[in-house]
Amino acid sequence: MIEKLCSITSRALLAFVLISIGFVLGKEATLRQTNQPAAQDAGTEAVAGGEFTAAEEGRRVVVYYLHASFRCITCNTIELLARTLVEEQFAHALADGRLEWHEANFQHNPAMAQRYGVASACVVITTVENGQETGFKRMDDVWTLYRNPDSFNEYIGAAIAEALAALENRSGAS
Amino acid sequence: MSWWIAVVSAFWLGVLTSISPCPLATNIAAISFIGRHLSSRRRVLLCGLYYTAGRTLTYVLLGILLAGGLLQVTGVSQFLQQYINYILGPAMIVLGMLLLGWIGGGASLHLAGDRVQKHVAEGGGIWAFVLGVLFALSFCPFAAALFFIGLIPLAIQNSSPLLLPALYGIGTALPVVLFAFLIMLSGELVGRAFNRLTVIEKYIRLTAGGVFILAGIYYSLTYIYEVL
Repeated sequence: MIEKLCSITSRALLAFVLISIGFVLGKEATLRQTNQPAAQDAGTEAVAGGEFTAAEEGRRVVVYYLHASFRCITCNTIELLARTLVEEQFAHALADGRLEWHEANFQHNPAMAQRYGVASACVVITTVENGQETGFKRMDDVWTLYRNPDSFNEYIGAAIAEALAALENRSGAS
Repeated sequence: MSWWIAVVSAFWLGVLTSISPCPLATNIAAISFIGRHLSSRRRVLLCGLYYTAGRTLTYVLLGILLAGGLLQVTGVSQFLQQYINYILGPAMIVLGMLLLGWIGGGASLHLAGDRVQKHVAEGGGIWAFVLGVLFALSFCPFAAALFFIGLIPLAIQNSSPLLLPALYGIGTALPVVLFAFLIMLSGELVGRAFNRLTVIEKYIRLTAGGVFILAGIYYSLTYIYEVL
């Protein structure tokens, strides 16, 4: 009886393994197909990757939370801290369109990962002018500061404020 | 002074990687694999050393290639986080089945020879080494951040592509090996107290196989099917 159960379980597990391998191959082929146009446009679009379209006219700061397919506990904490900061401390800029928040899977957007030099989940602050991305800052220290929300907020908050101020200065000058 | 800070930091980054919740499933699997030989402390020690060697060598190789500029951090990180994690789930399921004797044994499907099954079940050090390499390469986001964003710049800054990644590797393996020893010692204690060492060892081996299969299913659902 036990032997039969083991035999059935082992066959089911082997089937699961084979189906998983097939699934991976199919998934990869689909990802490659969908990523091809995004990679071609990566140099000209303000926002690379399949999940976003080209940016509209105007100046703004875009804050990205880039994550892998697997969302770890620490990654979720970093995302929550960053998003709460943007929504609470920069509500005004968010409401009038000077600031945007986006999240994206960098494993589904290889062009985006390459563009920002992403090695793991992170926050990237970019400036966009007339539909073109003019600069970006990758905030690697989120991984050391997430345990201390005050320092985290200071770090991200200062970078966003700086990007917004730079944008406003350029706007005033032109 | 700053050299010593770098040395301690590299080791501490490794320990942090190991004790974070992110690679918990692989660590539990490694602990159960290394600590399952209740009757032989020497075997547990050997498996622990091979596992540590597997991890350390992998990080040293990556350190040399990345710090030397032969590979690009983003590309390698992307590749490993994606493709090795695809392999991880199915590989752990197959390993678990080998540990349970469901492949290669009399009543099973004969996909692997008896020798392979016996070798894995008996716990040849080479399998602990392979496990160390596989688990070291399967970066979760937290491990990727500590290695690619924390350790590699530190190794480049201190011109130490060998020692610092090696210390990181030892740091990632040490908590696992210590826990494996604790499991082995407590199992041995209970086994001797009740005079049932062989029976308890058998159950621990079965548990190790089960842990591998469950962790394999978990990783397949997480990385391949993306449902968790």
